[in-house]
Amino acid sequence: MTATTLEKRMDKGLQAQVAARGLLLQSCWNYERMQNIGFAFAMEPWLRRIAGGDDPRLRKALSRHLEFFNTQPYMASFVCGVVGRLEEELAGQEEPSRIHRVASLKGAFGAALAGIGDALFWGALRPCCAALAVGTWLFLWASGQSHAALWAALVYLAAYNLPALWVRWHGVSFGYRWGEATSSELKRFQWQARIKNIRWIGFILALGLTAYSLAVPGWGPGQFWINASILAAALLARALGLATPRIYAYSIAAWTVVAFILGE
Amino acid sequence: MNMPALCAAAAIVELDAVHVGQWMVSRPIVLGPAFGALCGAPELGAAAGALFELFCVDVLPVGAALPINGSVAVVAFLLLAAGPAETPPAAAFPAALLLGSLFRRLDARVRNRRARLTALAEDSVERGKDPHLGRLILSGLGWHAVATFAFLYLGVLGLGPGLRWAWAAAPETLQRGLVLAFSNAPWLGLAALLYSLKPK
Repeated sequence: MTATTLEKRMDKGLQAQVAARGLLLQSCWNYERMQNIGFAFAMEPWLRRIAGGDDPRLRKALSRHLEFFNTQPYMASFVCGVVGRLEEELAGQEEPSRIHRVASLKGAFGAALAGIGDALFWGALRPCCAALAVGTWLFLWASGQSHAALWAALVYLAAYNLPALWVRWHGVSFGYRWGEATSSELKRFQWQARIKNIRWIGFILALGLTAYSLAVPGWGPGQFWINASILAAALLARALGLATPRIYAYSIAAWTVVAFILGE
Repeated sequence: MNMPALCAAAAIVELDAVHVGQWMVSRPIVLGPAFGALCGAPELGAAAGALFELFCVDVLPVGAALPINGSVAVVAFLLLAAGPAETPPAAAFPAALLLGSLFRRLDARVRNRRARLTALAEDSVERGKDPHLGRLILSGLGWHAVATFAFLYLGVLGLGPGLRWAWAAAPETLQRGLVLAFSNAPWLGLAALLYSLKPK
C-alpha cells in the first residue's frame, strides 16, 4: 500500500475520533481483561468504517477486541494505528490464522509500548514535572508573587501534557503508516536516550530545589544540619524500600519520642 | 461551596487519575490549590498540594498496581483541615494519607465489579445486538465517581469530629510529635522526589 493510499484511508476525522475515544481507554479497567472495553470503544469508528454497514461483521470485530489488552494509556495510540491497519488488511479474508495474528501482534505491541510508556511518562516525565512545578511554586511564593500556586499548576500541566498529547495524536497515524514495522520504526525516537535526559533534567531540578530549601530560608547552622540529617535518613529509608507514607508514620513515632525526651 | 458539592467535584476530577484523559488535573499539585481556594484556604491548599505531590511522586500506577490515591488524600486533608471539623493540619495530614491508602481497597472492589461489563458486552454481541460500549463506559465511570464521592464524604464526615476530639484528648507529647513530624514532612517529600529521579 502506498503512503498516498494510506493517507486517503486514514483521514484526520477518523484519527481524531480514535484519539479522542482513546482518552477513555481505562474507563472500564478491570482485573480480568484490563483495558479491553476502552480499546474496543476507541477502535469502534474504524471497525465500523471497515465493516461498511455490515453489522454482524462489525460485532464480530468488536468481540475480538473485547479480549485482554493492556498498555500504557498514551502509547495505546500506536497500537490503535497498527491494529487499524491490520484490520483493514484483514477485511474480507478472515481466516483464523490471520485473526490470531492480529491478536498476537496487538498483545506484543501493547507489552512493548507499555515498557517504553511507563518509563517515559510515569517514571521520568511525571516526577520531572513535579520537580519543576514544586520549584516554581516555592520560588514564586518565596519571592512574594501572588498566584504562585496557579503558575505552578499551569507549568505542570503544560510541561506534562504537550508531549503526552503529541504522542496520543500522532501515535495513531504513525502506527497506521508503519503497520507491522512499528517496532523497528519506533527506534527512531530514541526513547531510552530521551528517558535518560528527562530523568537527568528532573534530578538536577530536584537537587536545586533541595539545595534552595536547605539554604534560602536562612536556617541557623544547627537547624540546617537537622534538616539535612532528616533528608539523609528519609533517603536511606526510601532506598531500603519503605514507601514515603510509611516513613512518615515512623517519623511520627520518632518525633513523639524526641518530644517526650525534650519535654522531660 | 458546601462539603457534598466539594466531594462531588473531587469525585469527578478524580476520574482523570486513571479513567478519563489522564491530563494530570487530578494531581495534588493542581488539585490542592484549586480545592484550597474553594475551601477558603488558598495558602494551605497550595502547600498541601506541593506536599502531597511529593509524597505520591515515587509510586508508579503500572498495570494492576494501586498506589496511594493522591487526589483523595489532598482533598480529604483540605476538607478536614479547612472544613467544618477544623482539624489541626498535623492530625489531618496522617489521617488524609490513611484515607488515600484505604481508598485503594474500594478502588480494587470497583475494578473487580467492572469485569461484569465485559460479560454484558459479549452477551449483547452473541445475541446479535449492538454492545453499546459508550453506555458501558458511562456506567463504569458513574460507579467509580459515586464510590469516590461516598468514600470522601463519609470518610471526612466520620473522621473529622473524631479527630478533633482525639486531638483534644491526646497527651501533649503526642501532639508535639505530630506537629514536629508534620513540619518536617517536606524533607521526606524531597527525599521521595530525589529518589524517584536518581540516575540509574
